[in-house]
Amino acid sequence: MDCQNVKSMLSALQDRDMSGLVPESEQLPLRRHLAGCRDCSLHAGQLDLVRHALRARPVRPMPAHLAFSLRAMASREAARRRRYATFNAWLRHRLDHISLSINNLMRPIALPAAGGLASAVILFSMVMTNFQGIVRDHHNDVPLAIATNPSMKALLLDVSDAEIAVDVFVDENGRVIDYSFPEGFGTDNTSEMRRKLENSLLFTEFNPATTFGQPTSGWVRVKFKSRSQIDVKG
Amino acid sequence: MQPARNTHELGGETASPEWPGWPGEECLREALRSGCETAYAALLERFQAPVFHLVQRLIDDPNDAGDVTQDVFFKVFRNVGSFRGQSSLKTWVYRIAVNEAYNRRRWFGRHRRAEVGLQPEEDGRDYLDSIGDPARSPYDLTLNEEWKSAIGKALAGLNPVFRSAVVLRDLEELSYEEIAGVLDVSLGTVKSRILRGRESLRKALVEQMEPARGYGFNPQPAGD
Repeated sequence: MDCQNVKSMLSALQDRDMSGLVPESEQLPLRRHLAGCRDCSLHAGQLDLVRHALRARPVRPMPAHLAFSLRAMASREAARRRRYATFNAWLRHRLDHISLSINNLMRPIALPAAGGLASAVILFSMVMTNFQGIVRDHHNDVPLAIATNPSMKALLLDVSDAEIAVDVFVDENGRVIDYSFPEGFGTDNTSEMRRKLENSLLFTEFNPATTFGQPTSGWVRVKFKSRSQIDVKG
Repeated sequence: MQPARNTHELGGETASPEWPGWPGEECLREALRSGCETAYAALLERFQAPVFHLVQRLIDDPNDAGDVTQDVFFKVFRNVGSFRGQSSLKTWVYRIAVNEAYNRRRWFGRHRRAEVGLQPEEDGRDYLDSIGDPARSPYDLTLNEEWKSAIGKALAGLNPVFRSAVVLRDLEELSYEEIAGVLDVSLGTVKSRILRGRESLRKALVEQMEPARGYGFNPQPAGD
């Protein structure tokens, strides 16, 4: 074993436990060489000294504020991890966050907004009392609808007990001009019934149809149900 | 690692000697993932001081050790969810610490070198100088100072790749396998880096402490 080989093994010798680093068969020759070779022994001693000096090199103790900062960071990160651990936890966190944001947003304007609304209500109610009675209905107001249908004013003569419906054409003066039986009504279409019906219509008063408030002619459906019940449908 | 006989029963489960109060590392990892405060406290309790010291030995400016340690634990906490236990927690944390220290050294090399301080250093004195030691003579103090300075210079001049391997082995006393895990290299590479790192340190110290300056680098170290 020459010095070059020994020097390459000296690092392993530093680790005390040479198993796996120096083959067992070479460990005894290595120690014998070191005992006899001054140069290699000095080299090994220098390596020992380096290791010793390294270990003796002072290190600063960890500052207390650093430990405190690390603990705070750990707590913050643990809380953050808990927030994202499950979907429900994440959802709860988001809802809390939104609720807090809305609270923070609304809190500064809540009082001014409530005060403003209350002031507006009070002022509006005070002002509106002055406008009462300005708009009123008149008994002779003409309806301003675009078009109205004729309507029956009074029935002076009844027809019969039979239920019958008839479409009546009323002119602009409210007089009956013509009539006809609608499809499906007036099954008792006899001459006797027609005579009674014509007499009834002759003595019935109608309100004429109107267009833009002006009387005009139009059709109206009159339904005789019984002696006392009459339906009028325009 | 302590022997198995040191394990004790805890709530019906065997507590890990590495993690007092926890049945095992797997359990602790799960607790960390779920955001358990106690687990985070246990992790800090176990690693904050070793990581601080490791970082301090790996970077050039010890004043930055606190910042780097915070960066290390920030990354640990942020990434513990994706850590699947391919290695031990210790190896994983140390790997992050070594990488962060390496990044800080690179950053220091790029930015801090160009900075000029407004106030000069106070004669290069640090807090240790203010601690009295009546047992040592002025000669011992001078020699000790020279040694400290020489070791510091030698370590600072060492290639970062070798430096991390030597520090992990000689100061942190990690096994070769653990160092391989931390540095993410093969076992052979670890042996080679430690060998070359130690040899570089020895040469640097021999050059600095030549006999002409009065401090011989002899193999009989004085007791510290």
